Amino acid sequence: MVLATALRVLGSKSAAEDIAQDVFYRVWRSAPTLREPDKLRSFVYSVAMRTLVSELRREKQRAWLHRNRRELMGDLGCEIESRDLLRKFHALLERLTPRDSLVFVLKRLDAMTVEEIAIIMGISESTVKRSLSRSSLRLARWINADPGLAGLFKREESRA
Amino acid sequence: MTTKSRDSEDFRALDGLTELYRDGLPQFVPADSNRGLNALRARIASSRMRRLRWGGLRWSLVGVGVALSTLVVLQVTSVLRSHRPEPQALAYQIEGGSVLNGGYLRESGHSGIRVLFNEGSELSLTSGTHASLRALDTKEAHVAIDSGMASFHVVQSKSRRWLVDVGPFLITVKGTVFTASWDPVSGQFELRLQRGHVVVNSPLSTGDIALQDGERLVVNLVKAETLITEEKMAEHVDGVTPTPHPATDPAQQPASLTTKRPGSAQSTKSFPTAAARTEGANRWSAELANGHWDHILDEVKRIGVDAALDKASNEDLAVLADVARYRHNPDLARAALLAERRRFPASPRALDAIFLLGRVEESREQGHAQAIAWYDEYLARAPDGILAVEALGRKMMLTAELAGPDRARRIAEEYLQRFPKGSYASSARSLEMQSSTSTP
Repeated sequence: MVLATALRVLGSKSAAEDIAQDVFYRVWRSAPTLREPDKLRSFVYSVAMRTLVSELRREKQRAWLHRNRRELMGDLGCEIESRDLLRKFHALLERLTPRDSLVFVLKRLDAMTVEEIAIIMGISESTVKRSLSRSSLRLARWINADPGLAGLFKREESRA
Repeated sequence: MTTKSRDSEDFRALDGLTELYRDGLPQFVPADSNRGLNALRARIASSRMRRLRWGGLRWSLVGVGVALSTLVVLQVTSVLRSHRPEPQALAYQIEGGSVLNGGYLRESGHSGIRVLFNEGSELSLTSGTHASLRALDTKEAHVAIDSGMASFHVVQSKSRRWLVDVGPFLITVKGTVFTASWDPVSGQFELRLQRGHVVVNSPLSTGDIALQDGERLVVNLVKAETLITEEKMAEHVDGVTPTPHPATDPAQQPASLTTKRPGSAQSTKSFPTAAARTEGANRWSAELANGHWDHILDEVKRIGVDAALDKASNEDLAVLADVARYRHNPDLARAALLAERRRFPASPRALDAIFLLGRVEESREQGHAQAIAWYDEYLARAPDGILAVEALGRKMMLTAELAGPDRARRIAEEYLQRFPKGSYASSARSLEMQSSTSTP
């Protein structure tokens, strides 16, 4: 789950693997301080969320500084057109704030409930809902404002 | 197109793209998970190594810190020591007499001898007192009173201790003014403590007797009686009658020692070693501590010497040997000591018994050669034993007496090499000098 979420948020298989390693390494180091072993799952998720938010922030800083930026979608094995579509959509996800991006991925791609998202991200359910609404509106607006993306989507849709 | 339908169109595109995005991304296979797991294990292992290395480094740093601190402390200590004056060697000046070989003090007139030490201590011997200065060095002052009376004014010193042998008693002095006397004829020892604190080792007690300001200790070895009183003019208590001694005449005492406290309240205290046990094993120790020598000897007579030697405990045999020695019964003392060796060969007392057998033999007219043999045996069995210094010293003295100083020279050299500050060191030096002057 951590790998899948990281891949969807970061858009890179190798980056997702690095992040998953970071997450489990932090979990291993913090495990002795875990007082309630029953909550290990949510503990792992919360560590993963914090790590992903940090990584997204770093990625934004790298983008702003135009240096050492990770090549996104470079390791996807799909067709070129599909890869372009995925890359453009991921670029829109990156335009969101790290938290909005994560909330959107968890809700729309990982199919988690609002309650689960609120717990693992350490925020209230209403904040999750507001974040979800905000990110959906923005993404929809950005998709429609990008004729290339809309065209790619229509071609992909007609091919399917 | 209405606004509502436009919105739904926008979200339709979003929903579609989201679905495409979710399905279009590659899936992780078990091999990916295994690769990640292995990488994670390697990372954890390297982290552990780093921790261990850091732990080792941390302990190394702690070790270096401790070593540096120790060096600093040692350096500071050595600097402080270098600024602290070394304890002075004890020098003295004698009034009314002189010092002979072996440290013996000879009276030149009839007014006693006064020894003034450079540290401020003072020793006054009443006329007729036989005494010697056994050892005077930076760490110890050892004076022996063979008979008569001596008064001491010892200045307290952290670096030097004062020991006074008074007949068979040993006084350890801790900054004090006191008078000690010993009459070998009546077997009476008396100590009056004006000020300070002393510890007396008495043949009648198995432990030391500590005395405080104003206390007086009287021990009569012949009557086997011991008395401690807390007033100046204590008289008959428990049947002890301090024997009048010419030296105890206050008129003959130094002014500093004639101060008397008012009042005549009298009290006695029992020995710290006077055990309440009077029955069963080790009962003779309690009898000895209470000074009842004759009770012990009577009991031995009643049950028979052989039976007593076979049944007595290890401690009681040692007590019996002591009592027999004090009562000048060397045969019984030797028998008790031999029984102790025979019955308890592995006990520390068996080792002491070898030395004491030498002392018993010394008290016999023809026993000196045998005494040397016992001392040799003790030195062979316990070269570093607590009585080795005494055994070697006695062996040296007896050898000098039997075979002359030339034969004793090697023993004297060995003694000085092993115990340069021992109680026989001055005698050993005298023997070396005698030997060197007699050698052509």
